[in-house]
Amino acid sequence: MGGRPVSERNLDGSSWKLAEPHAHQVQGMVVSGFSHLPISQTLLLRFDWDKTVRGGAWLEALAEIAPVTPADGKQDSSASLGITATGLKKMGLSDEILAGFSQPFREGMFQTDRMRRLNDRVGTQWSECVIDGGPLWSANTPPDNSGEGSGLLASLPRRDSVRVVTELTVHAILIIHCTDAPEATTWAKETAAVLKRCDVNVVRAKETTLGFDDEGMVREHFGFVDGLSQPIPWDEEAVRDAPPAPDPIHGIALGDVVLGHTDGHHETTTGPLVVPGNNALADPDDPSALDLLFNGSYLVVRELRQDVAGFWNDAERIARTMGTNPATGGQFDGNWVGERVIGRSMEGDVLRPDGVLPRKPVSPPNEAHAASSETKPVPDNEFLYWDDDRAGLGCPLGSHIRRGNPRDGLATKPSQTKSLLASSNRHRIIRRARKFGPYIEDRMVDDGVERGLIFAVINADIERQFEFVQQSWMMSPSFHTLFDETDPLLGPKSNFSIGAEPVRRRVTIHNHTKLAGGDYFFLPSLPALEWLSGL
Amino acid sequence: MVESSDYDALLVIEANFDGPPGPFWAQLQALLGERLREVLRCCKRPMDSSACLYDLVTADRSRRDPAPFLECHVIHPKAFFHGNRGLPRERILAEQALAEMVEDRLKDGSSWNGQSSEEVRQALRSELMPKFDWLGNKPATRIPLTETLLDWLKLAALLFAVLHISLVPGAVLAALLGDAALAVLFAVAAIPVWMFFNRYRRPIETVGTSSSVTLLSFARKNLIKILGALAVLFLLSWPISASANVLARDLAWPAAWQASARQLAWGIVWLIAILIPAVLIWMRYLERHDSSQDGPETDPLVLRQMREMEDWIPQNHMVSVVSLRPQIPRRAMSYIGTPLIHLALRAAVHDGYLGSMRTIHCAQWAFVNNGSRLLFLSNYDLSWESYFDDFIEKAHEGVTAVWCGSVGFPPVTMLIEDGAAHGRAFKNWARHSMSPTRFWVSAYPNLTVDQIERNNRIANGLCAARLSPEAARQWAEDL
Repeated sequence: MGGRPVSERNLDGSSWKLAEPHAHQVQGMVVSGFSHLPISQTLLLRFDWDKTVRGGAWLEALAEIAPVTPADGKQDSSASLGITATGLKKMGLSDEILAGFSQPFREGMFQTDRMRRLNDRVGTQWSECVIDGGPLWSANTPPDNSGEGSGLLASLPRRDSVRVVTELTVHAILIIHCTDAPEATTWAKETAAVLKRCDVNVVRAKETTLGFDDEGMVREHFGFVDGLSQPIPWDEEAVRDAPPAPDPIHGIALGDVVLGHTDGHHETTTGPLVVPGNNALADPDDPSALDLLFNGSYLVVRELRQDVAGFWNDAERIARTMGTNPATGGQFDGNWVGERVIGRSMEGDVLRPDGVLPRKPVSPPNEAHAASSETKPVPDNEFLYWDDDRAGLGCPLGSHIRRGNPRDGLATKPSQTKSLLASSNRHRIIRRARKFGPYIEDRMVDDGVERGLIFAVINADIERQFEFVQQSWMMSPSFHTLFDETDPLLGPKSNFSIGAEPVRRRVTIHNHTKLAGGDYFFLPSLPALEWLSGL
Repeated sequence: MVESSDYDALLVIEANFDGPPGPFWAQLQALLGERLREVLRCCKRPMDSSACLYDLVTADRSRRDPAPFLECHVIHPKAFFHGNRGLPRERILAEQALAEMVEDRLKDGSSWNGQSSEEVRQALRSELMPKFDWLGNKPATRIPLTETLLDWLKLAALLFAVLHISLVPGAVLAALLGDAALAVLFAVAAIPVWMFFNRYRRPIETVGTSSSVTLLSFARKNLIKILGALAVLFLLSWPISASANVLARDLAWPAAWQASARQLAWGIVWLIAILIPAVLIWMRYLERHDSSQDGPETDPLVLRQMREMEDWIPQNHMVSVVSLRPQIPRRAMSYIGTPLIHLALRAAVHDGYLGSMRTIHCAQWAFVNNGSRLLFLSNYDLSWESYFDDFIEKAHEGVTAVWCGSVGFPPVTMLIEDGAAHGRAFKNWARHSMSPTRFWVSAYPNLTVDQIERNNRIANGLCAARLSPEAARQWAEDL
């Protein structure tokens, strides 16, 4: 792979940077996809210390071997750290401070009502989108039973209540990013050894990669160019060299990805105030008090297993049932079906009624991209749906990218396009997915090797962003006036409508992406980490 | 059941039904009569004249129909919004059955290649006609023109009444004083009023959300309509005012017309230059001194109970009760504004859209506890979170207008600005005001408002004997 990867512009978010002092405080992972560090090790940690050990001791040890990197510039290697609610509790964080964190984080991903909303489990059954036997790992957050068993409401029957306990309990996630695999492996081993001495055990480790192809594009296991669309956070002061206004298509408020700044709903999250050496809420007037959430964020992690052969065999099966393609006169093929599922071509270009959206010629390299003189045009991501593909004749209405970010496509009148684009953008998330497992040799033949995606999302309001996208867009059977169908890539076996004339084609697609574990993590700022290491 | 610390628990039975109330009561009685009696036995004996009825219905071994007692306590909503207006349940279900049959006939869609949309439509039409004989009829108009005209008329009448009464003081002054004296008087009053107005109209620093729509920009955008409305106001007020002159000042008719025209002109000046900005200053004073509740605590158990009832089907239900703020302009705004919003929505919105959101089946606002609290009931699509995100992102001005007079509501500027745009504060406030819906039956549990509209378009398209190629193509997009 020569030169810089062409998709770096999107992947490492170089279109926005934080201003000081925030750049020194926010974790690097928030602003960068680390495309210059394509190899990473994802370590899931469990705290096994007994009561005599200080809860912050392990962070001090970690700072020696794998210090968490801030967002203030490119590094040769990088480490990012997220901690679950049970992890913070195990570290000894007092309940009154923990109460200042957001509710979904405190409850965890596998709280009964949340599992139903995310379509992971309804009633007593795991959904088809979860691996057999249920997820392997989570934070194992105990259900909050406060107030139960007393009062008038206690006597009412519970409609749905289940305690999920996964085999592995995860208290923290450590992701280290390196330039090559040996370096990452060695570093991960050394880090694990250091952590082990603090009774912190690595319960699950995955080598994860970005995986550039020859063209410098990131491809996920099914073979599609991935990671093309990211929101561009904007804040007048906290974003360095902020343009006068947010990006018209991808602009979001910085507060939607970094806590403590104005968010898309015109609010600023304030967290619990603490002072060093005191595990209790600080006097709000104390000038030395630290807002524990300020410049932090929440990280949603879902380990997704992909059955590549299953997907492509399914696509081929569907293609065979579809007969001849009136546009070409030839047979439909698996690629054609797979591309409709995603909504983009294998190369990453969004589908349009007459093919794909043409790429824009590359503008002459400016100083920020001085090294990119050899880059070729990349897929154009500055598109909307209303004007060119309202009915989904190109990019199907229920395709993965349209469900993941409908842009202005949910409008039904021209007067709504602006407000619907704005409202879609209030739910955007920063995606930092990396894949694990080797690429498949022959995509039609199952080689039995485990592969997939560590799907990681950075957002400030888990309910309004990640959960909304998952529930109201991805898994909603009534998205965009469709019915009886969910996301063709992530959802359970269901119908999938492909826009066509004179009438839509409708196929049945099976599930080939399954949840193997996940939870919500707090991504502390560097000052917050320092405070936590004093616990 | 709405529980609060200020009042005894309130039993709310919400009924959204088609047709006249008579059969509804009979059906309710037949279906739930005895159970309702048990429920009523747990309720407090009313203090008004329905107490005897209450005794009769709840007496031991009583066989009296509870419906008449409930009928005594019916509260009609002051504002009601119906997403699929004009579609009775029977029609919705029939159109759903038709749409499902169409899907079934279309199969995977491959066999229709090479045909035009109109050919597909004709083929489906003739195939389905025997099963759905109503396809041969012209679809019933959803909202008859007379109904719409009546709504506009009611809206105009209410607006006229409010504005006409408001300009009376100015007109009376004009009758008593000469032009020069009036001009001086009004200028002396208007200058400080507008100075204050200009000073206070903007949001306080921590409140502003840089809303794109402000009350003033809304007024500017609708300037032509406002001028037109004032002209109509003038014309309609003229005969009333002239008669008043004839009666009160004993003028001859020609003189009365002339005098009243002058009085009305001054009345309108009074309205625009003094009264409206003065009332807005009063509102701004109240808004700036309001106590809003930044982070109301919601009982975790109640919250859990609400959440465990939600998100089983595409629809959800919510009930919220909030206390109203006490001041005169606030109450006046609530009591007059809510019916005005109701009429405006009925008259102007026929496609189910509130702003750019269309997820509401039935929503209603009513005043309970002698007008001291505002009850909100809603049947909506998708999750509670997405419903409120819609409110915040797509309709916060209207939502703010309806709720700005409620205790604890996030800080508001000029009636419609900010308020519900403070996303989390608004959501916290709303959750805090809610009670779990213990029992809820949906007439068509698996359909969203959008899908009902879609089914309706499919059915209407199939009813037509012939469609133009463009219309047929658009029709086929819904399949």
